[in-house]
Amino acid sequence: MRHRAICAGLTKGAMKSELAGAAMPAAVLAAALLAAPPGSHAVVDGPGDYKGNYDSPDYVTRSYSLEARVGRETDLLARAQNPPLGLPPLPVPESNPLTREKIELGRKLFFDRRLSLNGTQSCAMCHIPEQGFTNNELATAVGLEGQIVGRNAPTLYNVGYKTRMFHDARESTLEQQAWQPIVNPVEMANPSIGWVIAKLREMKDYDGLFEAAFGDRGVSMTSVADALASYQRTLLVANSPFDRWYYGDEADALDASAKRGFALFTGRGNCSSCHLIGDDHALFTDDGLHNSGTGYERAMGEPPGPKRVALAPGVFGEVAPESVAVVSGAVAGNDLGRYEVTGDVNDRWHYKTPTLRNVALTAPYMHDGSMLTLEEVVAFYNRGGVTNPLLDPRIRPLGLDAGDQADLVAFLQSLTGDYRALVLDAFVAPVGDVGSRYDDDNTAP
Amino acid sequence: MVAAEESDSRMFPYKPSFPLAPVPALVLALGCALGTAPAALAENAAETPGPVKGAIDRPQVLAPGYTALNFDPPDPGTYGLPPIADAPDGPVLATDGSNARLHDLFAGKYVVLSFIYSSCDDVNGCPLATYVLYRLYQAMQKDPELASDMRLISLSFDPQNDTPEVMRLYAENFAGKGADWRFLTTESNAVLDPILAAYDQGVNRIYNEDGENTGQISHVLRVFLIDPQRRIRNIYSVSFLHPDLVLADVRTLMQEAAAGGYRPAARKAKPPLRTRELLAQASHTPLGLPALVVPEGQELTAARIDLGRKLFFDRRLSGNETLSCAMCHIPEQGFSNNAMSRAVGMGGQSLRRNAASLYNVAWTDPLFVDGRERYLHTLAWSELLDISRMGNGSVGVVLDKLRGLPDYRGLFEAAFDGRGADMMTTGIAMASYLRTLVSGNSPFDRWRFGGEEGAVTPAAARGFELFTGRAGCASCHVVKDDQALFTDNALHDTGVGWQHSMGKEPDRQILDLGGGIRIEVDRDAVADTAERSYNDLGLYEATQDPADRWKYRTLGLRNVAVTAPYMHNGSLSTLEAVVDFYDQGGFRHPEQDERIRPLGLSDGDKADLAAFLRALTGDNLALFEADAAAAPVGVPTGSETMGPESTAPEAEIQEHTRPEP
Repeated sequence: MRHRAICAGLTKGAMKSELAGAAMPAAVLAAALLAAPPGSHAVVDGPGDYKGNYDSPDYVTRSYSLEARVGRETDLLARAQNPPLGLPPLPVPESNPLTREKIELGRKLFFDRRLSLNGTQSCAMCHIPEQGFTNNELATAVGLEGQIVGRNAPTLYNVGYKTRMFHDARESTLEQQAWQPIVNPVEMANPSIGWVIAKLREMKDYDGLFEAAFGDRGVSMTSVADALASYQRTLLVANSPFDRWYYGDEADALDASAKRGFALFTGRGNCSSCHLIGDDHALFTDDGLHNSGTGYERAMGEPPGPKRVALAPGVFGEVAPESVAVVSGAVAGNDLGRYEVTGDVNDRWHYKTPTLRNVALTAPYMHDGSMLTLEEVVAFYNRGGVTNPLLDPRIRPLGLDAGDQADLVAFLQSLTGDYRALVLDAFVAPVGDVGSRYDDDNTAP
Repeated sequence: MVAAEESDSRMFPYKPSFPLAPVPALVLALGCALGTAPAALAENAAETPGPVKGAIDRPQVLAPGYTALNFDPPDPGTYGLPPIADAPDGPVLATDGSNARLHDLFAGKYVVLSFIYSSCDDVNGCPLATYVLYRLYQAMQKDPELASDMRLISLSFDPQNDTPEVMRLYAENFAGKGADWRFLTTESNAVLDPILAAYDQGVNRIYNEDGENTGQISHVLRVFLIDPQRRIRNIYSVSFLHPDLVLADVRTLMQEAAAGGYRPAARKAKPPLRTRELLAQASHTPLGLPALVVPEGQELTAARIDLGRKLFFDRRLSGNETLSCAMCHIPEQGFSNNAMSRAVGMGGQSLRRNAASLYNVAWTDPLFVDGRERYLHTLAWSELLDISRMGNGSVGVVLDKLRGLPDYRGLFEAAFDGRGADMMTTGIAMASYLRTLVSGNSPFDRWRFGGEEGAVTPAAARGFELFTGRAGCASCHVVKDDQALFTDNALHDTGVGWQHSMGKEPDRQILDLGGGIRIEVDRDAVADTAERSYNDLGLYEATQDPADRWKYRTLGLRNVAVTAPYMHNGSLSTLEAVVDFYDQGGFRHPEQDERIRPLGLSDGDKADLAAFLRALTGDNLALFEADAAAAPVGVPTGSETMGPESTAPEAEIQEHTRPEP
């Protein structure tokens, strides 16, 4: 009965665009989007449709129209040169100094769907600006033509400080990282590096851009990588309530619960032994690799019994494993984490400590996106993770009560910085679109 | 070797294991456990065991150790065997149950040590080791010097089943016959395991679902050659364990001892790298080739070529440090692989295509048989990052390794104006070496472009007329007035790919058994032994354009006589088969290139075409082979676990160069 109603609602609602903002002048709307409190505005804070009320029989889909998605440029170079409160100076490699030309070119490449084998997938389609530069709707990323990538797309906020990339830390610089998703057969799946270079050289809308940014180098293996790295390096987000309280001496920037959460985070919860907080700044990560048991649990097989499945956003049901298996794709191989890089058995199920800045924007959590909410994550660590022979000794049962856990969540929510300008800046970027891989006239202005 | 039907059951197939029975069943039992019957061997030792009736449905590829070597073993003393590590010691049990120590049993002799277990049922495992030791035993019987200075030791890694009594039954067969072969076991797994670990002899005891020991042991075959000073001097794996090679090594060590012991080769004794010759050839390309055009910023220099060559042969550049570029593009096999239709990649997985020859790759554009790559310096990274080929997880894994390896210190900086290892310098270095692989001045070139009337045979000359005339080959394999690359660098559909995709391959398949022996078998008979063969759509996979399905790049035909097998999937073994294929018009289907059509050639025409193709072999292949043979192969970084000596960086790496042919 309800099922039929939902289907009817989907059909009816699919035609509608309900956001009144579409009628506003773009500049006014952009200002409104910029000013809205964090997490409050669906256009810049999540998937582009409203998914509440799914379980209501009168549900209608509410998609936010593209007109509402207005952009506004921000000075990314200035941001990088003067990072927001709570972040250290941005390290920039000598071989790739930041320039406006490189940043802008990198942004164009980042959003260009033509950089994939069949012209459908850009970097930004897994690292979605309005979803925390990750994907709030998928536990593990989906690559070209629906292929299983296997791990959760990490946020790119503050990626410029990372000394190691990917969940298994197999890469060490943004420049070196850049080509890998582009040629990975399950991600953007390009035939080869040279193929992409040759294609970029033929795209008219790139005429002169590489030359302006890189001089004689033009389009090359290193200039493509340097441009992409330059743009990503500018995605700096801090000046959160926590930063204003801790580093900016604003006593009221945090509420009492978040302050108690901070005390637990650095004290009894011992979270900050991996999610580091420094005297002048905090990245909330040690860039190290640890075994929390998440990977171990998955490798050892799902626990028996019914599984909790999201049937629709916000609607959960318990389903027999056999029923799930019928509709679910096979999990692509076991995931052994750092072991897959080093071959050292002691590295099994070790994954990199992610930053916690802006964590409220970057659900779902863990390397496999297996946890949907911060509450689940806090409860997981309160249990002491999943016991296994290689469990990090710092992870142990914490004995936190419900109030403590709520305080920790409040603290984590206080780590959301001033990200909005970056999202609006991303909206300005041209989306190199299909039509044809060789027909460059379709690029959005 | 004779056809399968003519062999008899004395030798093979190897039977599955069964418990060793007491005498009088001993001889039979031993025969099976050893993989062959000693009595039969004594009569037929020089013969090659062959498959028997029925073996055809479960073919077993036998290790080279069972057969005659298809090359002459190097002369003893013409090469060195640097000590690898001290041979570890350990407590063992002799056949009378008495305690002994391995070191004492080495007894100052040249020892060939093999780990076996009597119920092993892998024909290329323990039975191979025992077969080779048996051949050595026979050689010792015939040679008093070997008999007095050499000892064979078989140590069981299955103490539960291989008791001293069981080992005694083995040993009885060999006692008092003029050669020394000891059979040892140990008290228990607890005593044995440290010995296995010390010898880096991994074993996996296999348990069934109920947790019971099945008695089967999974292991990697390793046989050790140990000198009188108890140093390991060679370790033989299944591919290299051969009695002739072991004997050559033993005699090399004997000569070394007579000359006063092992001395590391002097630095200047290493073969000179022929970089200057490579550079000279590249700047004045051989007759028949156009001038070499090198992209700006990638100018050829000796330092770049040397570095590129070193990278090309370095096994450490693969994810698990087992594969180098040169292991699929083998210099002695036309920088291709003559033994495999499709290349084998990381972890032994079968790839979809034949490893293309790298001769004259400087003029190839697009690259790869499906044309998916455009530049040589980016191609290097396509290979390095391909998870099924060189298998590196990331760019950083490769670069961090190169930056850390002592034997690469300063090389990038010297080749690139102070710039260290990065994606660009690594790519350009490898491209520089590849660009030097220019090969021309073939008999055809001297005849056609050099005016030497008698440089080719009349048959080859007639073949050329057909090639450029009636057969139409030259419409894709282009021959110009002053030079010829024999390719239009374009992609075409001949039908080979289509035939595979459509499952229209013939029911009978030619199986190459090695050594030039081919048999024809039912495709079904080998289907379950071959790795699954994936679909392959050629250029379509890069362009996604349906019109590009089954299009593959026209291959240059220079040196084609040394780059068998042929076609993008190596499906044709001989030039004659290729000529036949085109004579019949390829595999006919609607999308096929219209230039390919039945030719109506006579047998004589086809022989002439093949003769012409054989006249395309360049005159400088030996130079490349010798140059390649002098390149260090990159000892895996993990090998220091065998002992402190192998960590000595530069000297050690120089010593692992192969002897000059």
